[in-house]
Amino acid sequence: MSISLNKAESNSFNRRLFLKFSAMAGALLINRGNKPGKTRAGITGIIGTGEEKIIRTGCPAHNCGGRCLLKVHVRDGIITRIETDDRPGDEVSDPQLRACIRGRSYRSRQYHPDRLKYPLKRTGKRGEGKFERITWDEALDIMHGEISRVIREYGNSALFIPYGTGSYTNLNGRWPAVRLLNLLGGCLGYYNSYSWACTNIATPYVYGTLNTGNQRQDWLNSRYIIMWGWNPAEMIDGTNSAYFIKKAREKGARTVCIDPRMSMSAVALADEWIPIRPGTDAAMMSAMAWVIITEKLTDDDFISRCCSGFDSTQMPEGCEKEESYKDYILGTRDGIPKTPEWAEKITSVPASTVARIAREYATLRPAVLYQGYGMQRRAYGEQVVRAGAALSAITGNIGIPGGWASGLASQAGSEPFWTVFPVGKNPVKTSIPVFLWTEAILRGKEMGPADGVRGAPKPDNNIKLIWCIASNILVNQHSNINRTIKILGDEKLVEFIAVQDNFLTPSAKYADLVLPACTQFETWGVEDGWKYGEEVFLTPKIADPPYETKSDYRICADLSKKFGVWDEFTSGGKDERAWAEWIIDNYYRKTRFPEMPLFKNMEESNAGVYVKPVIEPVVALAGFRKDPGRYPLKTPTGKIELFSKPLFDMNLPEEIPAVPKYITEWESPFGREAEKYPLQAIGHHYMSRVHSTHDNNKMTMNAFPQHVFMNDNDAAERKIRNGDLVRVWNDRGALVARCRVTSKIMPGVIDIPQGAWYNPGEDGTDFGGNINVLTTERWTALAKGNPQHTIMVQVEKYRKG
Amino acid sequence: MEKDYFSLVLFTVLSQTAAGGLILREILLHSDLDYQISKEFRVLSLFITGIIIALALGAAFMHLGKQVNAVHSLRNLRSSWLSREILFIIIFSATVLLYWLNEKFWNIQVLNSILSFTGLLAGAGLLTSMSAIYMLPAVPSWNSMITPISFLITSAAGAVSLLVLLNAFCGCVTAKTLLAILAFAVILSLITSGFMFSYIKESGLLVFFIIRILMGLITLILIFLNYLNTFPNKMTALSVLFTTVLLTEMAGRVIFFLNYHKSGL
Amino acid sequence: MPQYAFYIDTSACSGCKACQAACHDKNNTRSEIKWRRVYEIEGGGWEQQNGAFISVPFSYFISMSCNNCGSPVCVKACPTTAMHIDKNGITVVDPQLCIGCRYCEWACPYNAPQYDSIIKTMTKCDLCEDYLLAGKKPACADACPMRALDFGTFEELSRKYGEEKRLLPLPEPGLFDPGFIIKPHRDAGRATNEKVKVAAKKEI
Repeated sequence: MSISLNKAESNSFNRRLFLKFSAMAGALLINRGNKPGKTRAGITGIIGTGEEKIIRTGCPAHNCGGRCLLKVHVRDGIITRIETDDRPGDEVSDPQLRACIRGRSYRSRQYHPDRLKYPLKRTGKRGEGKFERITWDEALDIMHGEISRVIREYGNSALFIPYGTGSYTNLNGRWPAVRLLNLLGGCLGYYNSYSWACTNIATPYVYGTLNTGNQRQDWLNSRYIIMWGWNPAEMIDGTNSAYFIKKAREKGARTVCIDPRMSMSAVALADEWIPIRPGTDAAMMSAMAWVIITEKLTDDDFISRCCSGFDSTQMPEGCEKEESYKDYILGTRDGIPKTPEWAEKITSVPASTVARIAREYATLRPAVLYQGYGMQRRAYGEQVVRAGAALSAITGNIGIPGGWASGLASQAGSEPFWTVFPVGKNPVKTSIPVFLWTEAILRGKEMGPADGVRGAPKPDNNIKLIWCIASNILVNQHSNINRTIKILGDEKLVEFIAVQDNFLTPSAKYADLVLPACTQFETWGVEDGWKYGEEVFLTPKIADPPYETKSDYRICADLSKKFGVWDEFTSGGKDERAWAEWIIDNYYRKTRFPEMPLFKNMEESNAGVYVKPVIEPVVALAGFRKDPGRYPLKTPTGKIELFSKPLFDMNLPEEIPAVPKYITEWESPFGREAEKYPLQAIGHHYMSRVHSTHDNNKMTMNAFPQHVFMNDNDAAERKIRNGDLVRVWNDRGALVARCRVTSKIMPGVIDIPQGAWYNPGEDGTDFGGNINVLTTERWTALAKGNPQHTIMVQVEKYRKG
Repeated sequence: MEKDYFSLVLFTVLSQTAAGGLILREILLHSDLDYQISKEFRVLSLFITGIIIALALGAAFMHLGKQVNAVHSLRNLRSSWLSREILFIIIFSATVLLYWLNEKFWNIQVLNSILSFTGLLAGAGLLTSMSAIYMLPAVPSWNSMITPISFLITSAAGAVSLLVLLNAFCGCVTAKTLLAILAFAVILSLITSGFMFSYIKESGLLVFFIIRILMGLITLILIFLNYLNTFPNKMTALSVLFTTVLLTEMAGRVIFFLNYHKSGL
Repeated sequence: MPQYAFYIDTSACSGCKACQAACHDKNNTRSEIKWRRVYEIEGGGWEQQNGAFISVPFSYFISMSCNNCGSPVCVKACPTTAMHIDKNGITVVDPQLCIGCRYCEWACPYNAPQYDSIIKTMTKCDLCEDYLLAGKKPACADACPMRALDFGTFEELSRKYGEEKRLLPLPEPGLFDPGFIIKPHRDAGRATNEKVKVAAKKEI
């Protein structure tokens, strides 16, 4: 199939596709009744008599954390059924990569009637969602014109491609655009992510690396596993992570879930569920340390050999008299011993439970303390990351099979690559923390190191042009929507916004130009692990892009022509398939996966995935533990830093202490704000969506509709019954959604799953149930990250008018 | 409960009234009650019973998803109470039709006796099957003796108020005994609702309960006044009485259907 | 005729509904028609002492489609014999006979028969009979990411997993002889002493 069609071809092609499209959409509506033995492929006749092919491919990569295998049935270019991995064996070393409800319900997204079809140009005001159809030529001319103009008038650092993870197949998403802009002088860079800003910055202060995770099969060597704010069964933190925990339990491991909600993981994987007040995890961790230290359950050998800053005998040079970790825990300096009783008042966890968990973790070795990312996506997320790492350290659960060093825990030994598409070097050296892009719009030129600017003293410009690809960050996923839409609505601030996506998302509504991208089934891609994993998927093109949609790569390639850099951009005319071949043959095979089949063999064999079985799981920091002198960590002392001199030198002890501390959040049940807003709100990663992807998927949303989850006592107090519409508000905004009254969340806390599409009413109240009308744009002290779970709100039954 | 349960409310109340009507008619005809039964009454009672059972059948038919397949519904007499109910209702309807034709035109005495017999059997069979249908182990809220008792009460109350009305239409004097029986039935009916009061309150069905009690009280007042011969125009009074009885029973039947709870799931 | 049955490991079920999604996709059923349903069971409550929580609720999930009962009440109840046991021992609905009276829906304690308001007849899980004839397991059993579902003849399954069929709030299995074997959740014992309910019935 040639890449570009002439107009006549494309019209008749589109007509055929339109029929197939609506046929499939119709087929999803009609149930043909119960006829065993008959294949239900929808409305027969229109689909055609072509034979059915089965293609094994990766699930369209989003940012769920899963990398699963799909068996896609295709007839006449239409996907008729989706099955999952059925390779025989299903051993722990190489288990089946089974898809979740999202992968299995993908047809409802693939054939959604709302899919963008044509390039659109804004006609109304930004945010109104009024557009007119234009041709690709016109659209690319506009892109070319605006990018050139902004470079000329302001400079390359006024260009910004925001964070977005809607498309993770390496060849798609923002990466081709980054490559293109890098050929044109570059664009403003960023660091961190919305997932793990705090742990990304905090973990290296302790370990000097992010690769603190063992290969997951190692969990089967553990005797005790604490799943702290971790919900792998729902968000899919790596395909099969939940399954590995199940296997560990079968071998005798005891598991404990510590979470304000009785999550799906708490139900399926935990021997015990301990509800904890959101934002107070560092307090419980400190109290656990108190028990472990005072009851002499510490691994003294490991501490003395491998740690620094534990007590006054091992403080770093220049800080000998400062408060050590032990000083903080025992309260020798601040006069507050971090006892379980102290923690009980803060966390709502009974003191006896805190003490018992501490003893279990310290004595049932080797033990895992797995930290989920929800608890670091908070005001003082950096502290809880270090506090957890400190617990692993003082119990010596690091560098041994069955242990776990905590922290960000990207897989050690063989770090997965999330992007292998070569983007080249960015001539613009400046980068900002990813969460501060609105600051860079308002006052980029005035930002500096205090705002976390790296690479240069300050950006040369404010952000003037945004090219948002496979991302709903602009409006939906960034904090404080009411603030962001005012900023984006002002055309004098950001002068041009282009959004490239499959649907007209809330972010796309604020675009000046909307570019229709095709889905990942409709182009080539390569997927590898997300944070762990020994797999590489080849995702071939299964269906043709409908209407005038194009792949992200293709859009950039066509745009590169306008800029006269087509040859460099396409590296001599490579199309998507050629890039997939290059990545496998010249990158993976030459680095992590030398035994991987060649691209053409993978394509022919229709295996879909190449897996390196894990026989002996790699253990992070094992070499360091054995010989810390020979394999020092990349920290100033070469050891695990429980006291960090670099942090001490920042001289901001209230918010960035040198040892991990529990700090009361700036918006908490303990502050004055609690009088007006007595409930804590959190927004977990929902089973029906991957962030904001699939919010319009009928199948997944029918199974898990958007709700405000509320404890039955809190609901009864407010005369709210299950199914009532409720209004949730604070000073930053308000939303209305249906309430699910449940006992599975602790009193005082509500949960509004994140990712629902913003849908404002006339007065700005959001009727989509998007938690970001309530979140704050204030950033965390150390990582300059997003504290999106630190929210206080009030709830009432919703009355119209 | 499915959204269109109301057609079943109509079906059960009307068919129970009709079945009770025919049974009561036969009892009155063959009893030693000092009761005036005219030829007009003999014909009219069958005619009206026929209309009511036809309306009931219409309501039931409306409830079906695929009406064209209704011809198959006698295929499982072996084990399905629903199949049996349909058989009984067919026999009942045919009986009423033939009975009416015979009483109005043919006047064959033997046929009267035969049809009286089949009518009683079909009526009893209809009431039995209907009770058995709802006494499903999977629906514990229906699976108790309250179900057949309330069906019988509906039957009795509907039948008595109907025949009393038709009797007045034919210019005869109403036996006070019948009014007393009616009052008794209505009181029993309201008591059965009382058993379910706590559930009714929990499930937001209070409005139907209130309608039921209201209608029931009006019924009792009307009965009392009729008993005292207060009304000059008996026809109107008894028509209203028949209506309030039906409404009382329908409100109760709505509560019954909305009280559909599976055992466990 | 061997009784086909499901093994339901409620101790490992996370309620993720991948089984439900696999069923929808394979059978092209609309989201309202759920041949497989995942029930969320909640019980117990919260108890506080000095502000700390000393007692917490419990919960588990039960994923259920049709249990291919040995004494199917739906077959007994159906007036037209549309609901019948076919030649492979699987209870199925014949849409040519069904009148859409929904009596089987009332009779089934597990909510297996599902009414389709567009074709106006009943539909239900057929245990992926076409897959069985091809030697495969039903779509749901192979879908579960937690490997909490298995399928086979009751005999095969009972040899692997035992014969437990009791788990509140499921009804007493004796009357129906359902084809399933349950592994009870760790908190199933609490269900006998504390009230349990199905959460969010309207969402199922």
